[in-house]
Amino acid sequence: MTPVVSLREVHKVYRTGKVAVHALRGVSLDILPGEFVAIMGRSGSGKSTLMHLMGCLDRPTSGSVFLEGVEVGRLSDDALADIRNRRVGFVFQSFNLLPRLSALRNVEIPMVYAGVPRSERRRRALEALEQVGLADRVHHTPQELSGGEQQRVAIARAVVNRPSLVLADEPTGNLDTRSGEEILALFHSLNASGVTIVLVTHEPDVARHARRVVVLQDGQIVQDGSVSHSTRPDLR
Amino acid sequence: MDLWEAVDLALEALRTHRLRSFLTTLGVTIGVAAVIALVTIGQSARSSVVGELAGLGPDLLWVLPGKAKEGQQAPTEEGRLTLTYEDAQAIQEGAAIREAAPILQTTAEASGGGRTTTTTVIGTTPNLLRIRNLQVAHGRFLSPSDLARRRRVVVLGDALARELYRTPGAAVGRHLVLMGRAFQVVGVLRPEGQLLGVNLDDRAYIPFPTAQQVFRVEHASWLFVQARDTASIARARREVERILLRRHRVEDFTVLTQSQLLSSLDAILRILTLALGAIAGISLLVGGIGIMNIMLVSVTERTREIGIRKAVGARFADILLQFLVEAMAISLLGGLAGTALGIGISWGVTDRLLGSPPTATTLIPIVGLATSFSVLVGLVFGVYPAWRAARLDPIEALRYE
Repeated sequence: MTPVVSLREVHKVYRTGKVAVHALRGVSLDILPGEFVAIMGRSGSGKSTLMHLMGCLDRPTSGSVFLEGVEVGRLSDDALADIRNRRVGFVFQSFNLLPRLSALRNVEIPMVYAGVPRSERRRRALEALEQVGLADRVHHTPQELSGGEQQRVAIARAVVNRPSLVLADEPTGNLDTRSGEEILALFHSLNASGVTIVLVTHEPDVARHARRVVVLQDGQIVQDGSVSHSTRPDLR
Repeated sequence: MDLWEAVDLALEALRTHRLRSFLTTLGVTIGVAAVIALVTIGQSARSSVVGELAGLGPDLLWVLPGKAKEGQQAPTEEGRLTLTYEDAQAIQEGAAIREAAPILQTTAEASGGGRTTTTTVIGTTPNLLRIRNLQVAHGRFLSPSDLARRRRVVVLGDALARELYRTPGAAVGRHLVLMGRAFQVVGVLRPEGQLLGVNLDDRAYIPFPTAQQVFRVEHASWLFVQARDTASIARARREVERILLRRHRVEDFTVLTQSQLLSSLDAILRILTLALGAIAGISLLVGGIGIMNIMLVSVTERTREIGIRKAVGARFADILLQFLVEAMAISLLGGLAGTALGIGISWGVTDRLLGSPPTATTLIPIVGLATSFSVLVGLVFGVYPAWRAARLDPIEALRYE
């Protein structure tokens, strides 16, 4: 089975002024279709960098990143944009919805760039919003929605182009426990329908939902293994 | 992303900041309106002036005192007066000449009918009637015996007669005081209208010798000469030059034909119109800078939006198009409003000043040029902000607060 994402000896070095930050130091990782993976680590461990690379928002300094078997490190910015558009869905901690647009219009955005015709766009956006349980709030703008509802709009937007991979960066970080649980339940049902999910978090309670936990420390994988729901990953 | 999508986004963005969009649009509106109004007024003035002058007759020649400098058509300095009544009489004898008349022109106070006004007084001969194609409405024009006897008689233009005596018909036979001397009104002319903004009907015509005596001037201000026909204009000109050279021994005069006068006047007015257009163009440029300014602000404000759009798959060209269309929407809206305003202004001004609205042939090219220029302004000043937006790094843009 071709991995959805595959990283080989990936290094990432950021240069801010004179200081070079070695965010990733030789990461190799395969994520197979249908997996639900949590990437854990403290802030500064390199987990956000890892997510950016998997989501084609950035390129590795060295090493290779493969998305469904295609090496993305050498692709042009526009080709990366296309991959983000069709194969990857992002869910952010701060939701990142466009504040002036309705939930419906927000969910339509990825399809605008995919060239989906207007009528189909609307139909699919409504479908996606229904899937996340917001069928009755499609015309509300983000500020008229609760945090949990906003995150559900973001999830609808992430999946509307039927990506093979959904990347979530601390998706429950800005939510209360109950909304957080609802969002995680939503990820579970997405995963059950076949979508590969990678969840970046520093909360063990959140990581508990995943079936595999990868722990990063100082830019390296220090632990990678399946977890049963009874045991908690060791975070030290 | 297709164009309509971009237009949708642009209009939405403009609606979001109504006042800001309005003010930026206003900058372009004023620029475009200024270009259209000034150039149209200039063009209309030019064609109306040229038309008026051409209306005097193509076979007309002006003989001016003083020699034009090399490369110039008319004498520039106010030279010594050199032309005389006798010169005009000598020219009259030329084979290619139909008529010649000396003009002694000055400004003086005229009193009559209990009123006083300042008017243009022209000392001339009966020949002027045919040269200038003047029409007598009441009474008669100057006669040869008026000249021979230096009679104090005067023929009034329509406007002057109305001003002093209320009805032109009532003026004939009345008295008019010019330079403290009493003149008898012998005739009133039909209205002629305006030439280069000068009212040709606010005039008093008196016999040339009388004018010499009253104003104590020996020489003519200039001579009017009419060629036998349009075909003999060049011959008439050479003849005038030959006759005057024989009489004066030196070339202290300049002969101008109608077409020469027209072309130099036309050139001056064309430059004037261009200069007006250029000044107005600067205001359009300022409008463009306004667009660039507001678009740079807009791109900075919407950095996060750009990051989000890029994260979900917007390409370089998508973002570029979005902001470029927004800039061009401003300039196009401003261009359309400015066109309407510019046509309105030029219509009002030319109608009032020149008595006729601008023609479609004058307007259409100017409007076309101004609107396409306004779109171009949006394009030129919108490209840089749009490019800055399109090349933003998605990760940094997403982090932007």
